Parts: sequence; structure tokens; C-alpha cells
Amino acid sequence: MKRRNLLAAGIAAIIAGAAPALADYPEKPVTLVIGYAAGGGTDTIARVVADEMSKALGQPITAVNKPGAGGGIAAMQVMRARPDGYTVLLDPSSSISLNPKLSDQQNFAPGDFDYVGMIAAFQAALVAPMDRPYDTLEEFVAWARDNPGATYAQINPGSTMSMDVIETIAGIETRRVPTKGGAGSMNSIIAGQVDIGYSGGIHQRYTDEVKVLAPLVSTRSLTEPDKPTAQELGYPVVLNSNITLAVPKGTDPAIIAKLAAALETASQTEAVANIGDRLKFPIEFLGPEAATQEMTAQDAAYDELIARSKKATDG
Amino acid sequence: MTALLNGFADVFTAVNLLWIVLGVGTGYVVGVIPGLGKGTATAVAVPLTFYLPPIAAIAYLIGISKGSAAGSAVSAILLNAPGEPSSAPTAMDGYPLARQGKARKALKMGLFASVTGDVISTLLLILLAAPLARVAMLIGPVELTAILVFSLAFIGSLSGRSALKGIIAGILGVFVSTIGMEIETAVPRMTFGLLDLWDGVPLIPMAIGMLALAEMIVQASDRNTLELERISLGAADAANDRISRAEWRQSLPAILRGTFIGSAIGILPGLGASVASFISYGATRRAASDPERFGKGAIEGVAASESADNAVVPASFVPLFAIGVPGSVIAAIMIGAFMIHGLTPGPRMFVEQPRLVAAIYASMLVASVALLAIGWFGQRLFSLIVHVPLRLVLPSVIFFCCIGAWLQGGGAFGIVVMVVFGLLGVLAKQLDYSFVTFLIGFVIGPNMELSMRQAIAMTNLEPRLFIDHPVATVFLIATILMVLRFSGVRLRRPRAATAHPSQRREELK
Repeated sequence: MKRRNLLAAGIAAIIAGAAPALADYPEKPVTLVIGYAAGGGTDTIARVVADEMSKALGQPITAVNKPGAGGGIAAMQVMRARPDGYTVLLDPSSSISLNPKLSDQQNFAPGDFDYVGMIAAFQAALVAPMDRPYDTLEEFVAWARDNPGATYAQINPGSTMSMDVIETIAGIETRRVPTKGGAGSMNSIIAGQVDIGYSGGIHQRYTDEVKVLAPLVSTRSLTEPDKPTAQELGYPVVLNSNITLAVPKGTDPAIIAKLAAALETASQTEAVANIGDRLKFPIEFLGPEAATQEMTAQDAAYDELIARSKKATDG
Repeated sequence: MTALLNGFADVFTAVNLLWIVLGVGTGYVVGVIPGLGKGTATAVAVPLTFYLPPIAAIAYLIGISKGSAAGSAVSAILLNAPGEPSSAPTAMDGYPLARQGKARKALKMGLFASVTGDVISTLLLILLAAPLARVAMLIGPVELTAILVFSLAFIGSLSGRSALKGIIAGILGVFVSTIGMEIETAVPRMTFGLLDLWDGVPLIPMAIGMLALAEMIVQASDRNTLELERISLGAADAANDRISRAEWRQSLPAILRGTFIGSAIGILPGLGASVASFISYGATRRAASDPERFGKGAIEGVAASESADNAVVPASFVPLFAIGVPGSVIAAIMIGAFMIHGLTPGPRMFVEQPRLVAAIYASMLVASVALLAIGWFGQRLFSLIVHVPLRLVLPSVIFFCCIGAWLQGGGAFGIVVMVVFGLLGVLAKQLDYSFVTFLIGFVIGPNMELSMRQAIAMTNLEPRLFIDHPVATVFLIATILMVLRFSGVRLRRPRAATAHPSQRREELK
């Protein structure tokens, strides 16, 4: 049995020629580098997906958490890895498309990776405590005009820039309250300490206490589909980000295709559907081509947001 | 009530009990080993919990956090190398007791205080989670800033011979905590171009360096004396092992006070177990009629510190259970485990799956019992370490320190951090600056900065903020009075009653 396998492998190697290992990929465990700490939303979904993918690939996938610099540490590690398909990156796409634009020390760009696929979209939104007298972004803007000094809970540069742009267009001003991570901003919103806040999607777990004013992505909210997005209301703020599987640039297309097939299979399993439902991530598989296109689109959208925010803050 | 009984019934299956015991056991052992801690244990456990049934998975994680909080007292008492910063005050009196041959007594008191704090705090969580969480929500950024300033001043003033040096160490800790990404604009501060420093100096390698590595270096330089002392301890003396009635009487109020302080601090975000155990220790010393005994082997010091340390754990789950917002790192990791098993933490959990909630509560109580049993047998085993020659103990501890720093500090970078802060720790010990106050400053620094900036944004620094936030005003006035009083005491009595490890060593010789 063993000898026959070896023989088959040998023949495959001769046929494949330049890239002898391809036919057998993966022949050893694959390392999945996750850009966030163990236990968070990104990590939780990544581990379920990795588990299902390893069943499809027939090789274990070892999940390694490399948190830091908003997913940047993980991205830089994978970028420098050998493009052999044994080191893959799981990060929110904004860690690749947005964060390097804001930092001199994250020396990478969307072009440094090949994309296996995307599996779920973050549902960024402007949200507010349930008891506030406004239900949409427009009503908030009207209220903020009459009540100067409205407070805004922000988390990250994306949330800061969004409010910069909205303020300029709406002609309002908010006081910025820095909060730490999604949990921190939810805490100050649920406690009613701020008037409006940014959420990367975590608000969908608190539908009793937090209401959506306007989604900051190009699709409407799952929990409150009647609320128009900020973009629909005339505020060009789109913070799309997807959970993305990427490999170092120059990985063989055949390997990418195998990984993508496994990711697609995983995305259709019940386990992934369940966890997506729990975490309120709409599971939607995008293949290598669609993911690359989405990445290019996000890259351009973030360039535009940065330019608009600069213009807004420079007066 | 029936739900709770059903929950108990669910917990009493062989599988669930096994995982609770395993969790407490794992937590206890990693807590005992300096360098490893609950962070390491939980991170390793998270993937494992994917494959467990929900009750077992959550109970396992709870067991780890309870076990490690109690276990870290063991290394604090036996080696003066606390497994976690929160057990540092335990070492202040526990280690002197161990050097007097009363290690078993200190360990027993530590365990009893841990379990008591744990059980009462668990009951508070079960009975009062929702109202307590609502009260905690009233503590906004303004109040939190004031409470943090008060805590830092209080802890700084009691952890060295000189209140001034203590406060300097605390402020240095706050200063080091500002390294890393700035919270509002995400600009990296003082990272010297190192991407590794973007999220700040990693706490765990730093704590390992200052608490364990530094102590091992000091003990190595003092090895001959310590070795002789260990030999002279000889066989355990039964009278030294038993806690006398008078000692119980001294310790019980300390335990209750510690439990109260630990539960209150656990519910609030941003303070944490190390602040709780220090404040409890300080309060007990303050209440004592003869505060000079503290630092030389006062048993109620161990009781005060450990009861508060363990009371924090269940209390920190209050915001998680009642609102769904994590109050601690462990709670944040547990959200992942909850979600995986189809349980969304928050108020609706009680309506949708009351039986599962009851089972979690029940398993927390069972974990307390398991902690008592495992601790009882564990400390018999671990107390043998006082008979092991230091030349074997020191390298083993340093080995585990390296592993812990590697695992929790992003590889080799963690080891570098550990060594740097280990050397700083030695320096601090020589110069009598409290490294523990430094660590506490480091831990609460980011929260202090965050809540202060939130408070500034929310109030716009209008003077009426002092009227709108009476709780904060009270804490700020208390801080000012305390600092004034300490400086006054220092002027009148330059040799204050507080003692530092290096001084204690002199006295014991």
C-alpha cells in the first residue's frame, strides 16, 4: 500500500515537473495565522472555519493567534512566509486594506497577498442607546444641531474618520469619547454615557438595548433592515470589511484553488452557519476572484475616506 | 429555585464533574508554577473547549480561573515569587511565615480565605447579578477615574517603607503603560519603531520578570544563607502547622473585609484582582491594633489578600452574565466559549436557557468545593518544596518563567521583556522601590488614561461636573486627604511602621 502511494507520488512528481508537490497539497498540516487574540469574534469564527476546512482538506489546520497592531503583526508574518500554501492568514480585510495606510510601520498593501476568499462581512454601524429620542442618522443630525456637545463613542481610526466626514456634511459637531474595542463602546452605549457610538458589528448581540441609526457598510442591517445606510443618506462613508483568507503573493493558483474549495465547503456546513448566526455574521462565500475584486474596491474606498476626512479636519 | 436544582442535577454527571475537577486542578497547578498563569492555561484551553459539551466547557474555564487565583498563593508563600501580581500581597506576610517554618499554616489560611471569598462572591453573582450590574453601570468614566486615582494613591502609600517611593513607583508604572498605540488617534507612542510594542509592553512577561525572575536572582545571590535556613527548618512541627483559635479570630474579619472589597472591585471594570488584594491587605493592616506585625508574618495579611483575590473572579462575571459585556480578560475569552455553545451572554440568557444558566451557577459552586479539596491535597505536595535545595528550585522556576514569557509575550520578544524587567525588578528591590506598585500602576494605567479622557470628553471639564458626580468628588477629596496625611505622618515619624522585603530580610537574620 505504502509502496504504491510512493510510486503514485513519484509519477505525479514527474508529470507535474516544475512544481512536484502540488498534486499532493496539502501533505502536511497547514498553519492558520489569526490576527486577533483567542476568544474574540474573529477568532471564534476562524476556529470553526478552520475545523471544517481541515475536514475538507484532509490535513489538520493549526490555528495560531498572532494578535497585535490591529491584525498587522499577523499580516506581516504571513507576507514574509514561503508562498507554499502552508502558512495562511485570517484577518479582517480592513487590516490589509485600511490599516497600512494609517501607519509607516506596517509595510504592506493589498498587493502583497493573494486571496483565497472571504467568508463573512462585518456589519459596522452607527448605533445609539435605546432611550434616545432619535431613530435614524438623519434624526440624530437634527437633534445634534439643537443639542450641541453630543458625545460620540469611537474605537478606531475608521470610526474617527467616518464621523469627521459626517460632521462636515451635516454641519454638526460631536465630542469624541475614545473607547477600547467593541466591548468598551457597547458598555458606554448601554450605560447611556454617550449619545451615539460606532460598532464594528457587536451591537447586533444587544438588540434590546442598542438601536441602529445607520449602517456604515454598503448593505443594510440584518436586524433593522428598514434603516437606510449612511451612504444612502448622502454620507459617503463605507467601511466594508470581510473576514478574509489570504496567502503570500506568488502562491501557486492550484494551491489557492484547493484552499478556496475547502473554504467554500466549510462555508456551507451547519457548524459554520450556526456560529455565523450566533455572532450575527452573515456567512457569504466569495472565491479568489471575487475576493480580490472586493479587496481592490475596499482599497479605493478607504483612500477616498482618508482624503475626505483629511479635508474635513483641515477645515 | 427549581431551575437551580435542575442545574445541579445537570452538573452531577461524571463528564461534567470530571471537567470541573480538571479545570480547577489545571488552574491550581499553573497558578502554583511561577511564570505560568491563568492566561496561559485559558488560551490553551479555548480550542479544547470547542469539543466539550457546553456545561463542561464553561465549567472547565471557570475552574481554571478559580484554581489559578488560589494556586498563585502557593508560590507566593513558599518562594516569594507570586504566580500573579494579585498574590503579591500574600507574599508580604506568607513568605516570612514560611521562613519561620510556618508554611503549612500560611497555605491553609490562604486556601481557606480563597475558598470563602470565592463562595460568597459566587453567591452574590447568583443572587444579585442583575441589580449589581445596574449599579456598576452608574459608575461612569468620571467616577472610575476618581476611584483609580484613589486606588493608586492608597496602594502606593502602603507598599514600601516610604510612601513617596511607593507613589513614584506607581507613577513610573503608569508611565510605562503609555507605551503603545494611543487610544484616540492610534498613533504609536514610544515604540522606537518596534511593531512588537504597538500594543504596549506585554503585561505577563513583565510581571514574570519583576515578580519571579527578579526574586530568583536575589535569592541566588543570597543562596548560602537561605540554604542553611532551609536545612534548619527540619521536619515539620505540628504546632506550627495548625491555625490557633486566636489566629482564626484575627483572620475572620480580614477574610470578610477582603471578600467584600474583592466583590465590589470585581464588578467594576478596569481595576482587577491585583488592586483588590492590595487594597484589602492595606485596609486590614490599617484596621489592626498592631500594624508593626505586618510584613513579618501576620497571618491575617495572607487572609486579607487571598480572600479579595478570589472574590474578584466570580464578581467579574457579573457584567458578563447580566449585560453581556465582559468585565475581565477571562470573561472576554469565555464569551467565545459561550457563543460556540449556542449561549449568548446577557439578560436574555436567563429567559431563554434558565436551566443552562443554573447549571453554570451550580458548576461554579462545585468548582469551589473542588478547589477546597484540590488545594488541601495540593499544598501537602507543594509544601515539600521547602525541603528541595535552592540550587534545584531556582533553575526550574527560571525555566518555567521563560516558557510563560515565550507563550504570552509573542515568542522571543517576550523573553527579552522578561529579562529587562527582571533586572529592573532587582534594582527596585535593592533601592527599596516597590515593584508591585509599579506593576499595579502599569495595569491600571491604560484604564486610568482611557476613563480620564472619556470623562474630559463627556463633561467638557465644566466645573459643575463635581456636583453632577458626587461619588467621584468624594473619592478625589479622600485621595487628597490621604496623601496629605501620609506626608504628615512621614514628617513626624520618619520610620513608619511599614516594612519592605529587603528590610525584613535584615530583621530575620
